[in-house]
Amino acid sequence: MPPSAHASNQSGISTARLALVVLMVMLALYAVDKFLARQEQNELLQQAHAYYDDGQVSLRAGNARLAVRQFQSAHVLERSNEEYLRSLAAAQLAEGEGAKARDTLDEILHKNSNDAQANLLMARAMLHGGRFDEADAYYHRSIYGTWPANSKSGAREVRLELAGMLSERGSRQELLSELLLLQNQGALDITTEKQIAELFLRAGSPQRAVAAYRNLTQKYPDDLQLLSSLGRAYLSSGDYGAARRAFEKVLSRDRENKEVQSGLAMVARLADLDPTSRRLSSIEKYRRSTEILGLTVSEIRGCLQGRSPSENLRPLLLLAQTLEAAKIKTTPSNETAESRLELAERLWAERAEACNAAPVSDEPLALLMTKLAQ
Amino acid sequence: MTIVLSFVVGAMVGLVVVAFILLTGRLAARMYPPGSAPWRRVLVPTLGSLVSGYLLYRYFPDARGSGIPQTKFAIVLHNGYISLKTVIGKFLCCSISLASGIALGREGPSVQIGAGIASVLARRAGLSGLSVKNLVPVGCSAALAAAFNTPIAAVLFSLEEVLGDLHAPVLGSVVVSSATAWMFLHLILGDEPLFHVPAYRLVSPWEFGIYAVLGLVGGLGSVCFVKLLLAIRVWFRGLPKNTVWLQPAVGGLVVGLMALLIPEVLGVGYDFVERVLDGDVTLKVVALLAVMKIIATAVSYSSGNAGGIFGPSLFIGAMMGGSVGALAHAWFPNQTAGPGAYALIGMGTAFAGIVRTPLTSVIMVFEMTRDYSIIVPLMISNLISFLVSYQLQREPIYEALAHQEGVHLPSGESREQLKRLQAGAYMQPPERAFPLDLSMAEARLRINQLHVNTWPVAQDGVMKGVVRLEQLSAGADTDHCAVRDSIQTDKFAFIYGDQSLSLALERMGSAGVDSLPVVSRANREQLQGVLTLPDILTAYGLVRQDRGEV
Repeated sequence: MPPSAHASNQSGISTARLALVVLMVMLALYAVDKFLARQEQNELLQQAHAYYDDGQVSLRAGNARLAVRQFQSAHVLERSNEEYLRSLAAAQLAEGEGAKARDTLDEILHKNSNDAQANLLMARAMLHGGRFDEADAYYHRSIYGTWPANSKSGAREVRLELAGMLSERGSRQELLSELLLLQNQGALDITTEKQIAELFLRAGSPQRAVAAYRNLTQKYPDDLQLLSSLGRAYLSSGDYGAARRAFEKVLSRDRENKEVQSGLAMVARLADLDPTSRRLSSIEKYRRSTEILGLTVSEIRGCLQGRSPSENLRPLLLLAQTLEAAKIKTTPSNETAESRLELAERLWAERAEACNAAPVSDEPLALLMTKLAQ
Repeated sequence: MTIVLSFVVGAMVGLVVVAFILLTGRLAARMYPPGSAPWRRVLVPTLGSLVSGYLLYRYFPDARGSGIPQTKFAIVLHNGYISLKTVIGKFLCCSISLASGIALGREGPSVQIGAGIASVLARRAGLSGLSVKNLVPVGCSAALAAAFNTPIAAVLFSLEEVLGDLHAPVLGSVVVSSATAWMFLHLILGDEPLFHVPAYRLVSPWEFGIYAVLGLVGGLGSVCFVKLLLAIRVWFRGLPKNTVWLQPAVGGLVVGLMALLIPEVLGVGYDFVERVLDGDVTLKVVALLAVMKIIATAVSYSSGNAGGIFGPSLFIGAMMGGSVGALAHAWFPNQTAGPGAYALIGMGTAFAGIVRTPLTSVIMVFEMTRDYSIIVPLMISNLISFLVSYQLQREPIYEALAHQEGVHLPSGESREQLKRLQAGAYMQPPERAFPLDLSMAEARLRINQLHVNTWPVAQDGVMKGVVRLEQLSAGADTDHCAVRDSIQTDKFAFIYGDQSLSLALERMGSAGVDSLPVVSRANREQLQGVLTLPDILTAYGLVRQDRGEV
């Protein structure tokens, strides 16, 4: 073999040997890198979970500020975990940082707009910012969104929360429709059923409240609180006799029950005021209607607090004042009683606009007016 | 062959740098487990820097410092030679010092490791000296692509800073290695940017003004950092030689004592930067951290620890940006984005001000965050920071560090300056050319007076040729002849007005002449002037014009 060929051969062998060494080193490095990367990944996940657990503890202890930091740390270590982000948003909400919570939730909803829990938190964040219509929309997205497999009652609880918000806002029609949907969602636990019955009252549907409470008292006859609530529902529905019977039933087993005692007093007062009772003489009906008119005028003057009445209200108040002045001269009759009651109802209808506030729903006058309106 | 080797270098460097990052991170996690006692924050960096300091002093003296100047030394002074021992030493010492919490970065060392691997592989493959030298920036770009997860910025940095020439012929190899290293990084660590940031947007056009202020603050902060680092380094270099092994421990102790007050000063601090980018900013904390990190990094580096200043410059920038952003947002909440947006831009301003690579810094921050909306504010702030830094500290940090070592590297700026010395600016007017009918005696006299050996001949501004002194031989019979009979009309050296004086020198040298006709690019026959050797020397400040003496 000539020397040049030999040298070339040698060079080829050394290049092949170098390539082999490089390949082996690369394979070894790849294995080491993979091992280290997996180890790092595991450690980071563990650390993130530890931060998350600490955050939950802090949140439960009421330290939302610390919880925010801990959830942030968890999120930085494991960005793919949406539970950490949701918890961060919840902590931010608890801390009163609604805008930041909305930003955080946007990140989740951007990836998955059907995330039911994120939508629920977003609804709360909107509520925090006073954006009720958007809150309502996010509540509905949450109800119809994707819930985790282990959360069977999630949608129902959200609907109940939405009902609570609607009740707070006095949106009776929307509240009623949510409550009816809730009732149709199969078997409910006693707490939810109680809440629904109570919300029927707030939705201005006492008959449904009565039905719900009666159903509950049949299931749980020893629950005196339920019986008392049934009494209140009867009161709202205008069935004072049934209310009295329910209250007396409770009182027979719990003589010291203050709530029931005041309920009975209310029944007595309403029975004394109710102009719709059968077999009332025209004089008695006139007396009751006059008192109702007087109470209505007092209620409106009280809530006006010196402000001048509206254009609609002024002539009605003037008419009531004239009738009051002419009380002695007027002959009591069914007609005069009816006209006073009609005036009282018209005044009551104007009351909401004049006073900018709903009446206390369990006051005798309010209950009576509800009954008259029915 | 070069492309294949670039691919191999990219793969190898990518794998080694990923191992370096992961190992450093895991070691650091062991050093500082969650909830560990405060004394660890003093003891660990002190001990870590003591151990790495001894190893550097005893076994790996070339692995000291950041790695960028050392890589440039290797290219300029040693034909790209970096020993395997240096690579191993850099890996080992940096792993120890960075894991112990020294306030330095891993990117500079990665660059030297990458350059070293490229150098070793090229030598083992039997490449020539020039090829080895050309492969070093290939290793640099692979290392930076893997360390920062920024393949484009890595290419730019290798060209802009390491080579100082964006049009270097190794561009193709640099791109291949960067892409390969990036690919391996993704194969192992997945597709995650270095920093995750919320989608920021410009709230109002007034914000451009605040970003300009941020550029100013970033520039001033960068200058403070560079000057402080250089000054402390001078002080350390003045200490007795036998304390060199102990000096890094001083840096470790200072960092440890600072960490007692604020633990975030430890290490490179990318986790905290991410929190600040998320908008989790308290003005007092970020402002304090900006100052403390400047001091901690300056002391860590100057005391001789192994580690870079890339990462810390991003940290410092994020803190400065966060401070400016927090103030702006407090004063103008409806006209400004959150402080996180300013922290993001701040990273680029500090990088541009400290490392002085404005183009790389823009692309790097963009790649690190993958947020295109930041580009315009980033460019504004970076440019202002760069200009402020340039005005107040003319010498870039790596060149200044090299000067302290007694090495004078060719800076990008000096190369640019050389390019700016154009022939057109120093040439004599075209009227000085000899006319065709000039007598040979007169021509000989003028050439002798000009101290040159050749001169262009032109008629009405049209180049006719050159006349050489040896062709103008003396004699009564030829003295009255015109030069048109003795001119050389083809294959004479010339230059364009926009070409550099250095190129003119090269042309003069190869042609054996000391003057060149300067001609138009549009028409080579149009004479624009005459450039002589004395003109060039004058341009470089080597000739006293009045006497024409060298």
